Amino acid sequence: MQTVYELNDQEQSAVLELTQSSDSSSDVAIQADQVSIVNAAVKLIPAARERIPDFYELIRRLREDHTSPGRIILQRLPKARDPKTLIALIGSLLGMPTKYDGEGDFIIEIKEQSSNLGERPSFKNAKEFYLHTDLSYAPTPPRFLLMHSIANAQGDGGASLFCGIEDTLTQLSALDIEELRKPQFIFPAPPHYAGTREVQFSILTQNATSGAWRLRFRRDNLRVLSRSGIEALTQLIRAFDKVSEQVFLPTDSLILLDNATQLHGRTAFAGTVAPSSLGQQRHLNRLYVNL
Amino acid sequence: MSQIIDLSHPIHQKPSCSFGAVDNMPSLSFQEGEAHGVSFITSRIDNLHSNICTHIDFPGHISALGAKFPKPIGMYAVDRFVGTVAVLDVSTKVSKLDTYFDKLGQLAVDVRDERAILNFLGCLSSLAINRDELKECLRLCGRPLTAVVGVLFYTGRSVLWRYNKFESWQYAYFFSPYLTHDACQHLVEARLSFVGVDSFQLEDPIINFNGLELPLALNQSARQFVKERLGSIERFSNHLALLGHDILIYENLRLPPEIRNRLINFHGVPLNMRLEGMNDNALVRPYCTVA
Repeated sequence: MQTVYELNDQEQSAVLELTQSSDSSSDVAIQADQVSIVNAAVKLIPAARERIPDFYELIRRLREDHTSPGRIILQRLPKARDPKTLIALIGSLLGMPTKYDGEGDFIIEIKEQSSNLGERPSFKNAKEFYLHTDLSYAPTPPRFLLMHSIANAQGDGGASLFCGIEDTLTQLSALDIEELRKPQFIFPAPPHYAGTREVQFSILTQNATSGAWRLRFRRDNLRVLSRSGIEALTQLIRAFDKVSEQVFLPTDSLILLDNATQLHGRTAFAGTVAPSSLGQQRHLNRLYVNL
Repeated sequence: MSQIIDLSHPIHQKPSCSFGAVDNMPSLSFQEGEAHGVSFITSRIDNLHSNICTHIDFPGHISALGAKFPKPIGMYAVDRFVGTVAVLDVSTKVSKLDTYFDKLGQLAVDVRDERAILNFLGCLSSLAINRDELKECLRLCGRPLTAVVGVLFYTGRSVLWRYNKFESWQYAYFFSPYLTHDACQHLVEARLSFVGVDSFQLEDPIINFNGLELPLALNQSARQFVKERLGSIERFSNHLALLGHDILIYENLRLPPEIRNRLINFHGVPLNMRLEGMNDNALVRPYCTVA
């Protein structure tokens, strides 16, 4: 389950004012350089703590409390002049906005930019995307990710899927969990990734002190070194199917996800194959955040 | 005078005709061969999946059957893959889908048209071959099941074989006849060694869907329809019914029309692979001799 937080009128105005001040404090001439957007957002943290305290506390809990649901959906966000300032502001409240070599800038536009047959599902196409954690092939994946819904029309597909690790584990046997804890899974990187071509890790890890579980997972091209490992993997996928939830992220909503405990995915959505009913294709902005 | 006919699709450094997001394109490189004093060259193939192009499914292809049938494919006796085989013509079943696909085999239905999508999905059940139809096909071949080692189903889909990836719902090659429960039982009772098909697989094509694809993402009633059908296939599938009785399945065969409704001398022995745990699939180049 996720926490759904609807901004009241006062918070909406405060967030809008903060993003506008972020707009003007960063040099408009170099807005294409997202470093300036992120730097401006970071400077606003004290003001945000003061002006939107409940909102700030909610985000602090996601960051610091491992018993929190692991995902928060914010609704009724204001329309910022530059939506990148809004996701940068909220991301800065959570932690340190981060970019990875070969993975583009801080803020990535998730929308259809190509429709090639055989392409893996990704941020730049409209294909269905199985439940996954982001950057499973990176040695240290981002701890959190934010997705801001800029345009998303109900009826055009593009529903989001979410699944938490704690719910998933209730569906698995102890033997399967043991297999999934073995570092026998090979995660290959896509061609654009600048780091190591593939990494070998376990899917599940458990913190020895807190007992909290973490996972990394992406289904396509994942390889396993043992038969018992692949059988546990098929059980894990069945478990995802049982406990995943479908959520529609309407325009002007934003989700914050713990990328170590929550999987996300989506249905296919209207694009090249079937044009959007509203003439505006699904568009989300994404930002990674580390602590 | 007998004629030898190759029943395989060759393996190239191109994607096999399929729909998964998995990269299954073989990659060829060359190394120095093992020799002293003479220069030899030897090739190696990386990323060679055992279920591309023409191949055999063994029981271990099903996760739940791996432990019950642990022996590697090389442990199967050669005579399991050789003998008199009946080629059953089920191509009239496929023609019922003609109105839904264009001449190139692409789905010619507006994915936003809910009624048309539902009609298409509903029509897939007409691909089922029941016990009586199976018996009638066998009668045309003039030999009882007990007198053959296997049966091959001629669907006519071979002509749509391409070295490309497609969406699972978009290409006619993935939609071909399958067996009802009683027809599977008939083959099991006859203790056949194997069956085969000249299309993607011998299975209800509803399993090409997982619920996230575009036609289902845009049409909730179609999604519900598929969800219910998948539930019943989970309990009974051709793969489970046949492989569960160690009846092997040849897929992606290339069957020319001149051998339909005929008996052939079939040879389809895979490589003698005895790698521990390799009990799932095997690449093969089957051929037949006909008088």
